[in-house]
Amino acid sequence: MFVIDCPNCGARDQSEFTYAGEAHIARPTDSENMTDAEWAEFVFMRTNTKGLFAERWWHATGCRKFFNMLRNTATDEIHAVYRIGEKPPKVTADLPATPAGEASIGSGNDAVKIMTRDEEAAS
Amino acid sequence: MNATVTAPVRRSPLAHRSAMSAPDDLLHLSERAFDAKIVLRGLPEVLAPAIEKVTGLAMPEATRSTANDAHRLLWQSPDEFLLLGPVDGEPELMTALTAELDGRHVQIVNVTDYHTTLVLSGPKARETLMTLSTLDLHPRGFTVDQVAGTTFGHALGWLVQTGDDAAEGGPVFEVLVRWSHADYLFCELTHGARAFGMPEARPVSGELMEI
Repeated sequence: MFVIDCPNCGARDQSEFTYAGEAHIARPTDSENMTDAEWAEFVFMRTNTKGLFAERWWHATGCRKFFNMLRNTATDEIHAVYRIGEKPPKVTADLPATPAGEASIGSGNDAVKIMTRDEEAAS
Repeated sequence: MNATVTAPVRRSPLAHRSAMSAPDDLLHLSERAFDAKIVLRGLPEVLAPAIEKVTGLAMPEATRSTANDAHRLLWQSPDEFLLLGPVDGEPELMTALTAELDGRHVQIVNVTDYHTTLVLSGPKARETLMTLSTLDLHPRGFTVDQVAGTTFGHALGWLVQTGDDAAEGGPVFEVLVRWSHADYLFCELTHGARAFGMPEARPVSGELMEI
């Protein structure tokens, strides 16, 4: 549980909010000519970032407005909260070091780790 | 024979409950149904002149409310406000506001029978609300005229402080809760105040189940 600083209502408990997915996904303008694969890309495919992630939240019990948040998905630290339509502020966030030294992208599962060509050749 | 038509009588959602108090005036809990309640949606600068003319109230700042003897205007969202008025005052308010805002891009909805008002007063009112809510209800964090929409247990409600802490009898809070959630919230508030000697809520009419 954490406290979220709603741009309209101020600091409130997370239980008042609803997660609303990845932010800054623009609706396609040329929707008449899109293929099924392009539609699937727009509707379903998300980046699933580990680390700093721009996402939308909805203050369900208070002002009932959507807003954006920059959150570190690895540590749950909230780096910035900004309104819909605003550009995300410049922030930097460090990923926590893990004892196993797992990849900074993806899970700790070796099968999905992103490896460089040198690492691949060595393994 | 002349048939007599009787106008339907409104029945409050807590008609089967009576007002309750904890000993030593620590806490009083009662219901005030049928207050006129009107939701106004639109840009504040569009709504402001009409509300000022009809009720004499200024627009509240974010998370605040403004009030005079007859009315209270609650901020609910940057473009949504809830106007409270006297009992049976909603037809006049609706007519006046609709006339003032004719042709403007606004929404005016009569929600009088959608919510009811629970009034919680006394020195232990804050601590009782704290048992049900995650809000910062310290006197520094929640002050008179402040407004917050939040959950109380499982029920959604709007909390507004109408009486100052320094006043005799302690602070006064009003919780606007949906009609169908009112009984749940009334019982939860009495349950939350058990530590201050509040008796358990018992229906005064209807089926009384003995265990």
